[in-house]
Amino acid sequence: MIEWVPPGLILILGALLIPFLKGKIRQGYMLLLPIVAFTSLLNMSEGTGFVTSFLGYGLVFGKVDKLSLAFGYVFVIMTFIGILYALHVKNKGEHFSAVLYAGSALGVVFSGDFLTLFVFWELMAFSSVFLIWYGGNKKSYDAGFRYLLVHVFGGLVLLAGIIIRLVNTGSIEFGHIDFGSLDSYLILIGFMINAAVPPLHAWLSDAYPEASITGAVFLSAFTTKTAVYVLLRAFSGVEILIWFGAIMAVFGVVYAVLENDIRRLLAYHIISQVGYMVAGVGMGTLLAVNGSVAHAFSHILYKGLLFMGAGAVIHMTGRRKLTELGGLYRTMPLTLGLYMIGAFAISAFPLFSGFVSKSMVVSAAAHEHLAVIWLMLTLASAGTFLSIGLKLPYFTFFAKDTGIKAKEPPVNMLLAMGLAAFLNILIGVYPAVLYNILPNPVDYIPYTPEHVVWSLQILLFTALGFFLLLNKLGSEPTISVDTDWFYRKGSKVFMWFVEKPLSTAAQVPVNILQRVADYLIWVGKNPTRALFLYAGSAVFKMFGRFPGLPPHASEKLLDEAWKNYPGEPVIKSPIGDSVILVLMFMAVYAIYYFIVA
Amino acid sequence: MGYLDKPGNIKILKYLFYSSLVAVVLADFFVQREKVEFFWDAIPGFSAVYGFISCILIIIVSKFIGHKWLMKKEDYYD
Repeated sequence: MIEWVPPGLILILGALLIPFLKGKIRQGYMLLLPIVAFTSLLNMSEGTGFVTSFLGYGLVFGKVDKLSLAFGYVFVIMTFIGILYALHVKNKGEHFSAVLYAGSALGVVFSGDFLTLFVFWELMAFSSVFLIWYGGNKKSYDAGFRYLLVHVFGGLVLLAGIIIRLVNTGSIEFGHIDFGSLDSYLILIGFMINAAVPPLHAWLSDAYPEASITGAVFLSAFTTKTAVYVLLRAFSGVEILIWFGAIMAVFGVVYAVLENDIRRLLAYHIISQVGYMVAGVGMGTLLAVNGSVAHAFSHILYKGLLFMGAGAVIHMTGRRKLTELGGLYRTMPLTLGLYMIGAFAISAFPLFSGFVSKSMVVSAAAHEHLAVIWLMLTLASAGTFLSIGLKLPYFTFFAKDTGIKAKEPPVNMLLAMGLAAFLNILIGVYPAVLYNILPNPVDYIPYTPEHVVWSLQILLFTALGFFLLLNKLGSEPTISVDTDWFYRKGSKVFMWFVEKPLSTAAQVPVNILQRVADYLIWVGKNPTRALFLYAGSAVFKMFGRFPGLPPHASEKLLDEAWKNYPGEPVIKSPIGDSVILVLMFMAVYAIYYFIVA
Repeated sequence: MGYLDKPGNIKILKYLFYSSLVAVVLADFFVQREKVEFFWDAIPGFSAVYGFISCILIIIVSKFIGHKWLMKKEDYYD
């Protein structure tokens, strides 16, 4: 008897039925899917299952250990929350792609070999792009294409790495990779593109804010976190990732300060938060790996909540810029409250999920005596609270009263946000639920007096700085150029190059051949007379006249002969023409061989 | 009429905020330190100063970089 089925397959196969169902039945069915997947997850035992053979390679659909289970749990929970949040959406295509996307992310998590992993990896890119396109305007259409191009490129780099690895080692097993060979570099780059490590990150901040309201919630959860998962499995302890991670953490913070679009601000903070996880991967100690997994887990829950809150605001007001929002606390207090729970969680306030997960990574840096890394991560913590806990809610819900007539969002959206908020508080208050599922045994106590006081000082004094510099921090109606500049502006330079210099240059040989062809046609109309014309012109040039004619009459005769060519009507003398053509041909041959010999 | 439209309420919130700043720094002088990984871990109030400086630095440096290079008009790519 089958005890469990890989949850990814449940969602992917289950998604196929969604387009055929209607109304309440479809809603119930969609909510049931993640519940079935979760039941299957609970029955999974550590080990390897669902192995099939393909072209002589073993494909593993169910590699189960504590690491894959931890990601599996949170992915399925988030799928349920996302479906609940999107329940009112009528567009079946959007539901289909969202569930397919979640299923392929789960597929990656339980893949035991590179081929399976790669297929799910690509499926993830191609299903998620629809969530961006369902944003439904020109901007989302363009951003979706850019997103797809970057991910196709990333997928090819990954595939190149996988193939080189297969040729060198003969194995497609997915596990720890020794860093330092070409295949490991390529695979790492492929993973890093999905983890949005700068400078390969711009697809995220470019595309996520253009996605549909409900699609962005799914997007915020899966792509970057599957990347963290594969990095943890393959590259834990690769030191350069510590620096990449710390730079990511600060990088996202800087851009978020400049950002005016609320979901783009949140998107930059995905990059920043994933930075903590990537740094944890790089440290590779038991505590750091636990920290990365724990932070990925709570990040999915609080970032989903934040995207749901921002989505609710956009859904109800139709506005997405801080400069156009304000004063909403009067009309959307529930949304504000739920959003703030997410904001406190990401800022790592005591009693919220971020406090018990982020601090594991920061403590791991302290244990390794990585002073600069520690200072960067702590600075980014202050920046996180600044942008997400203060700036965004202040300019959206308070500040000036814009008089927007808004209501609270539909009840299913509020319920989904409520569920995410509950889980964020549950993890914060009772961290054991999270610590028990981490890959390594946990010997870490987040709630010590020194840690609580330390965190509160950072956060409260960040707030002081915010209120002191409030007038400096005002949002501005601008966009900020990022590394997508190189392919957005670069593509324009490329198109100019193709259209102007390149196509002009390409025209030159065409023109030459065209003229040769024209000339041959001209000669072909009446070769005999053409030859006489050339001969006549040569004689006239040499002597200035034709024998027996004065110069003036000679010139006139020649001009008229050129003008009348090929003669009207053309007098055809096939044999004569052929003989002349053959003679011309042989003359060219003779000259050629004379020179060559 | 929102809660914050009354000036009195804002005043109350301000006092609460300032007193929590004072309370948390005072508390740091009495907290037992079990693990001191960096020298600054032993300095009471260090994280308050670091949090404050971080916040100011992030705002000023980001806005400087932004105004100098990064921020463009909204139709920049159109």
